[in-house]
Amino acid sequence: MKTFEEKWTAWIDGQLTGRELEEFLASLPDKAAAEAEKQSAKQLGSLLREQAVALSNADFFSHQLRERLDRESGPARSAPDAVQTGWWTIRRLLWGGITSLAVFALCTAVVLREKTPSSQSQYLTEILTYRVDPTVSPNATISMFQPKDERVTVLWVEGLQSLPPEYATK
Amino acid sequence: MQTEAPVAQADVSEPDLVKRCQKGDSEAFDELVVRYRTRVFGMIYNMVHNEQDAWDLAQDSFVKAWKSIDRFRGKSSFYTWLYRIVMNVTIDWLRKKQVKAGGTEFDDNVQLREIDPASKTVPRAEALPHQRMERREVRSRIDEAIAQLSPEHRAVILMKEMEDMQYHEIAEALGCSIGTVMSRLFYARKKLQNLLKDVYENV
Amino acid sequence: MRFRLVLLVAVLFVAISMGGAALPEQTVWSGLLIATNSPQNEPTPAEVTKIEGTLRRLFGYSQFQLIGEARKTLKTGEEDWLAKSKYFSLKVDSRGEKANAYALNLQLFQEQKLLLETTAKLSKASPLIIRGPQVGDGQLVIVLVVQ
Repeated sequence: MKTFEEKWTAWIDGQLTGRELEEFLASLPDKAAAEAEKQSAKQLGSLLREQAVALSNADFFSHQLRERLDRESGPARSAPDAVQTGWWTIRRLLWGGITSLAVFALCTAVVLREKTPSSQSQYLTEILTYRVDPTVSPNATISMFQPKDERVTVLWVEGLQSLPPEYATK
Repeated sequence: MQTEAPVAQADVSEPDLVKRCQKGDSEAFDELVVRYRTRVFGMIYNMVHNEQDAWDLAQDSFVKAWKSIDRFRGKSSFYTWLYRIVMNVTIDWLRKKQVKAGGTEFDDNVQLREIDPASKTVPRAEALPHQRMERREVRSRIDEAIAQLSPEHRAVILMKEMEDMQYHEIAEALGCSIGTVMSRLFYARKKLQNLLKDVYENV
Repeated sequence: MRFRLVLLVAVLFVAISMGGAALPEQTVWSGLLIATNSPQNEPTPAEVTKIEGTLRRLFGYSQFQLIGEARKTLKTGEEDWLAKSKYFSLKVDSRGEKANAYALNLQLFQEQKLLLETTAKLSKASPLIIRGPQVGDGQLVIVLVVQ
C-alpha cells in the first residue's frame, strides 16, 4: 500500500488514476492549497529542465575517451582463443595450480609465524555487510568508504530520522 | 534531445550497437558514447557542480561501461544500465569527497501534514523582488539548493525532472525500490520548492 | 595419484591452520559521541583525541561529546553490549578472531528500534566510525577501536 508521500508524488506526476486518485483527492484537507503545491512542483520541474548543461567540445570528449580506452584495455573483447594443447594438458595445469597454491600457503604460514602477536596489522577494518532496517528508516541509505590518507573505515548512513537534543543525554 | 551521431552509424539500432560492443567493436561503442555523452555529462554536472569533475566522472563512467558491457543482459534499456553505472560512479565520488550540503541537514522525515502545503517561502535577503533574475544568479541558486540534497536525492530529482525517466527506470539505476524513489522525490521536491520558490516565481 | 592428492591436501591443511594466527585476547573500546560545534566542558577521551582530526574532517564538527562508552574484552560466540547511552545502545556478537582482526556483528539500537546492522572485521590498525542520525544540532557518531 502506497504511503502518503508516494501517492503525493504519483499525483504530482499524473500517475495516480481511477479509484486511487479519487480516494487521494478526497483525503486532501485543502484541495486548493494542494493544487497550488502541484503547480509549484511543475514550475520547479520546468526551472530545472531549463538548466540543461551542454557538453562543450563534445568531439574532444569522445576522442579523449577513445584514447583512454585504447590505453587501458586495447581491443576489449574477442572470441576466446582455443585452449592450447600440448604438454600443458588440463590435468597438468590443475596439478600445477594446486601445487603452487600449496607452496604459497606454506610460505604465507611461515611468514605469518615470524610476526609477533603485537605487530601492527597492515589491514584496515573491513566491512563485510551492512544494512539499515527499512521498516524503521525507509529512506535511509548506507555506504562504506575508507578516506584516502586516513587509517579509518567509515560507515556512512544518510536519511535516518533526525532526533531532538534530548537524545544526546548520557 | 540532441544527438550528434556521425551519419554512418546514426541509423543503427541500440541493441545492435550493444551486441557489436560485446563482440569487441569499439566503433559501435563510440557511437553509443556520441548518443549519450551530453546527457551523461549534464546529469553528472548537475550532481557535482563542477565542469572538470563532471568531465572526468563522465569519462570514468563510459570506461566502466565499456569494461562491463559483457554483463549487460538486455533486461533493461541500455541507457538505464548506463545510468546505473553513472550514478554509482558519481555517488561514490561524492561520498568520498565528503561533500556536505551547506545549510541544514536534509531531514527526510519532515511531515507534510506539519507543513502548510501552500506556505510561502521566506525570501532570501539578497533576492530581488519584482525583478527578473539574472541567469547566472538563477544557476547559482539552483546549484546551492541541489547541493543541500543528499547524493541519492539529487539523483532522483534530476533523473525525473531533467531526464524524464520513469520511476522503475530510476529505481533500477539507483538499485532501490520504486517506493524509495517516490519517497525521495517527495522530499527532494519539498526541499527544493522551499529553497527555490522565489526563483521560479521571479524568472 | 591418490597419494599425491592426499599429500597435497595435507600440506594445504597444515598451512592454513598455521596461517590463521589468533589474536591474543584484546580489548575493544567503543564510544557514542555527539559531534557538535558547541563548546564542551568535559575533556575528550584519549581514544577520540587520537582520531579527532579525522572526525573533524569527516563530519565538519569541531567538538565531540562523549555520551556513552565501554571497554570490553570480546569472546568468540558471545553477545555483549558495548557503548550505551540513555537512548542508544550498541550490541556486538563476536564471531572470531583472525590475523589481527575481530569478526563482529554490530547492531545499533535507538531505544527498541534497530537503526543499523553491520558485519565487520575490526582491525587493530583502523578504527571503525559510523555516522548515526542527526541529534539536535549535532550528529551521533559511533567509534570502535581495538586496543
